[in-house]
Amino acid sequence: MNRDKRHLIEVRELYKCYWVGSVPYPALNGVDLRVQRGEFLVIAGRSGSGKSTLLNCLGALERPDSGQVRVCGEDLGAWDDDRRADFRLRHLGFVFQAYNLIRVLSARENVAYVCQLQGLHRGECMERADYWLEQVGIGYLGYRRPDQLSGGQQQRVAVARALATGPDIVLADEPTANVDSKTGRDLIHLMQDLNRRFGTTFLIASHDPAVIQAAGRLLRVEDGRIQGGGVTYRPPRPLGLVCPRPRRPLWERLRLKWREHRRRH
Amino acid sequence: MSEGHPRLPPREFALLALRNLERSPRRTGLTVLSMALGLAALTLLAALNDGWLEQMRDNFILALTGHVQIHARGFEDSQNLRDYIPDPGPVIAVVRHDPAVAAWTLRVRASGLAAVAGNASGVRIMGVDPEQETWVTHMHQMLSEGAWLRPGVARDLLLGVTVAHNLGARVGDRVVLTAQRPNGEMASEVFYLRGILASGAPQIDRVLALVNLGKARRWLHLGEGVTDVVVRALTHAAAGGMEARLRRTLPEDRYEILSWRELDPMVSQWLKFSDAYGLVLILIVAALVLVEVLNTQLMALHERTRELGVMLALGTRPRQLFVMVLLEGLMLILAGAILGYALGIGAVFWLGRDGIDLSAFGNAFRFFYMSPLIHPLITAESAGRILGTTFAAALVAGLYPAWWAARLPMNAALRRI
Amino acid sequence: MKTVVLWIGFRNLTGDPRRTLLTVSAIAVGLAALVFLWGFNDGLHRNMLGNFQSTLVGSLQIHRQGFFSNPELARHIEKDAPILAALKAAGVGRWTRRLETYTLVASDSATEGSFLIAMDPRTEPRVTRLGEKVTQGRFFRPGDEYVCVLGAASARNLGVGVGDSVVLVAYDRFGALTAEDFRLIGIVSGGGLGIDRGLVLTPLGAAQEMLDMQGRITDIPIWVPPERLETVTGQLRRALAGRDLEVLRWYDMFPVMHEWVTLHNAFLYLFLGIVLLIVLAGVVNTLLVSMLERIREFGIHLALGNRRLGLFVMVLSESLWLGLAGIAAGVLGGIGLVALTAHTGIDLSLLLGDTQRFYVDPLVRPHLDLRHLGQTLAAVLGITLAAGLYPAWRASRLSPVEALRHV
Repeated sequence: MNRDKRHLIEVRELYKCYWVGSVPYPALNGVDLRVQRGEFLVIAGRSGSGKSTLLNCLGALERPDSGQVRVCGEDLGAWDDDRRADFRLRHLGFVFQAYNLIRVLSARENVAYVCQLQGLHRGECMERADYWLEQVGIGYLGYRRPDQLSGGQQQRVAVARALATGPDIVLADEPTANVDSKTGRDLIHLMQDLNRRFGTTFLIASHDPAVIQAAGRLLRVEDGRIQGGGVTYRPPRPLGLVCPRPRRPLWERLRLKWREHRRRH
Repeated sequence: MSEGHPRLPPREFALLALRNLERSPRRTGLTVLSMALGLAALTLLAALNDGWLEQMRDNFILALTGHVQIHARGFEDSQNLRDYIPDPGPVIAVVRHDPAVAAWTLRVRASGLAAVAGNASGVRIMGVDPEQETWVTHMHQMLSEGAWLRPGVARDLLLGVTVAHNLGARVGDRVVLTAQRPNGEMASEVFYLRGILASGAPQIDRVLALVNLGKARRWLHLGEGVTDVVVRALTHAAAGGMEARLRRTLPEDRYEILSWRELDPMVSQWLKFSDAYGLVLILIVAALVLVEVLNTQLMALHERTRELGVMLALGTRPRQLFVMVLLEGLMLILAGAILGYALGIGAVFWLGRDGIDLSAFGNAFRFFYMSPLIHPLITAESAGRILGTTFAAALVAGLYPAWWAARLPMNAALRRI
Repeated sequence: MKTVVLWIGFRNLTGDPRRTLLTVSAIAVGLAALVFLWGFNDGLHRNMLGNFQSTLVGSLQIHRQGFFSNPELARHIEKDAPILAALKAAGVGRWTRRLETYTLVASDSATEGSFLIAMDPRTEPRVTRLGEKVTQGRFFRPGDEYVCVLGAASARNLGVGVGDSVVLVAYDRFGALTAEDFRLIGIVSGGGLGIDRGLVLTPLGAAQEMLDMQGRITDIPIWVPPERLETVTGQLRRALAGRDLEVLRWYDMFPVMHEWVTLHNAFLYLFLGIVLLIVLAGVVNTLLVSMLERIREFGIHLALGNRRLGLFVMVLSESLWLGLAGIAAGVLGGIGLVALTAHTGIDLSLLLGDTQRFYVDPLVRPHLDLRHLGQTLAAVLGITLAAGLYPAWRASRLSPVEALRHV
């Protein structure tokens, strides 16, 4: 128990499957992971290796099929959707590959939005937004809407948004994949800087060499398993056990059948 | 996609448009469904309108007048017994051999006075053949009290419900009818009230006094004469031809041949008015359907702004985009129209079988020759109107969005998130 | 749930004006069409009932109890002063006095059973517009004595023209048969208004003299605007209670027209129910198409930590705003359209010809009944909310990861 407290994230025997039509695909095939507060952790791996799924499970966006996920000392396993949403709001910040800013809101409104969701007053949130936009270096762009910003600028707004709630962990999924390499390097240096100055834990999934180079600690994911040092070996489980066939309603099954059929022809 | 193929063959465009529709089945489905619903509703409305007008017309014809009446020349205007047909034989011979005639009957009509124990009221006396009348009209089904005339019982009398009420007459009461013979002499006769007619139509309820044809002829000294030969056609559509044939065959100087329209201009006016009213309603609804279809198309296109921007960026020319969006719109409308007609016609048949029950709205229907069941009906005319609406929809909802897409500024479209 | 979602919902609308405009117009056009259809219908009925009442009947009539169903001269009104006082108290200025009974009209060649209506030439125009229906000759003037006006068909059947004499035969107050010569001064024709046949009109004074009814009348027809009909009826009935009088509305006497309007409205309810379906299809479709394209956006909200209820409320609030804006625009547009066409009139003479048909003038002026407006509004608001519920529910059921992956 005592040892758990030291770890901000503790994952044990994590399994998660996707179904492509009627074909199961194990995205996480028994993952164990511990992360300490203040780390700048990069999870590397080719696309499809399962790193995004891992991030989603840690970010309380997805439920694992089995295994234990403890984040900030809380077991996310049995929680309902609302509790997960609240948890994301209180403890986590997200940076996505596709920026995912809200189109109709200006940069500062985008940042202020999450803060307002936390229940803080609008004026206070706007101040906080201006502060964080300043911190990510685009304080002068606060009144622009996302479609008036470049990719790198949008991603900076996303980083500011992720930090504006004062999260314990920022989860970034391929944050540099949609921008050019120079902008990507600037972004990763920004995050490193923020990690150092504010002590926020960063978990970054990426296959970008620049990001991997900047890693405080580097983990490699391959075929849904973490490769490399300090990982207890688990023999692979049979597929049928990892991916139990989900019960789907009839119309859903028919739709999948139709999609499969379309794909084949 | 158009790089290197500046002139993409039409087939390719059609396939491209088809693929666009297929790629987002939900949006396509929704759009087609809303168009189909609009057109189906329009079809049903037109059918309802036609159905109730036709029903009213038929009920009116079957209430009293029949499709065509043959009188002696001048009777309709004078309503005077002097203008009667002394020998209906030749007329009957002609009527009997006409292929479109379903049934015919003879009547004697005269104005007169009905009196019951000191109360008197003006009435329209009508002598009818109790058996043959039932083949032509539905008067025998309109009895609110008592029973229909008995063949051979000379003193049976039926009165309209309002006349009976005004006279204070009850079934079984002795009623004295007074009328003028063709020679001008007044003659009274005693009858016994056998039943009361409640049709809802004022010209029956307020004035009618129905007696046996034979009795009326003897009482008014008409011999074998009658005033009306009333004819019912097999179908309404056949009535026009039948009327024309009768006009050709029967000598014009001796007879007048009148259609139901001329016999009761009020009802004919009413039908004409209702028709105009219905047409206005249908036109407004058609415009509404048009706008909703256009709106749906524009909304779908609006959400695809980025996709269109990508196509422009890849080198598609605005004109090609125009053709593609136009084809998509036309395909959607075609699919929507086919589905809509199928739905609408299905609804018409389904509702037409049992009718739509409006009896909750009270006895209004009885007044207008209606039953509270409306049976929708599709006529060629309204089918044409709906088809016209569809074409207009295809034109407007196809062209305008295509024009809009062709004028889309590429950069702004691409920037849309 | 935080109120910020309401604000975001509002921003979603202002942030994409074209989408908002399209959705609002889908609702507004539908509602405006419904409002206009009602306006057209109500205007038509108003015109028809107005023409019907101003032809002969008036809006209200006061008789001695039982006179209407059994019009005998014995049931007459001897002193009209209390009635006139009650009318004055009710604020009714347009009334006239009549004497009505059965009569036989005889010419040299024929006779016809008719209804005799004797009227006061001075006050009659306040209630009816019979004078405008005169096609030959003239209508009564004050000072006319033994003159009469006949319907066109009656005159034709009797074989008389303007200037000829007819004999009216009737029972007087004491039941004695009496006959007088009347000179025909005018012929009325209503084009199917029921005044062409079976009706003979005379000045009140002559008929009172002939029927031994000096100073006595049988009915007081009244004209009031349709909005005031029920209140005035109530007032008069209360004021005249216990005086052995009947206060009858036009539709108590001649239910046919009233029934006809009921029938037409029933048909229109059915009709508008189906039109509502079209509007519903349009609104649902517009909302759904735009919402389904925004799945990814909803995914962002969920990922950032918005609760399902928050998202539900956000999307529903958007529909609510859209609905309110659409309804406001639709009502304004519909009322504007009704007002505009009421001003210019809708010319149906192409369809109907130039004459009045079934009491309806070929120039229809739409008029909106507020009750019908209310019903239509409620229905459209209802369907808009219902149409908004589904996308809101769908949005709140999304899985954030799948929604984010949605293109």
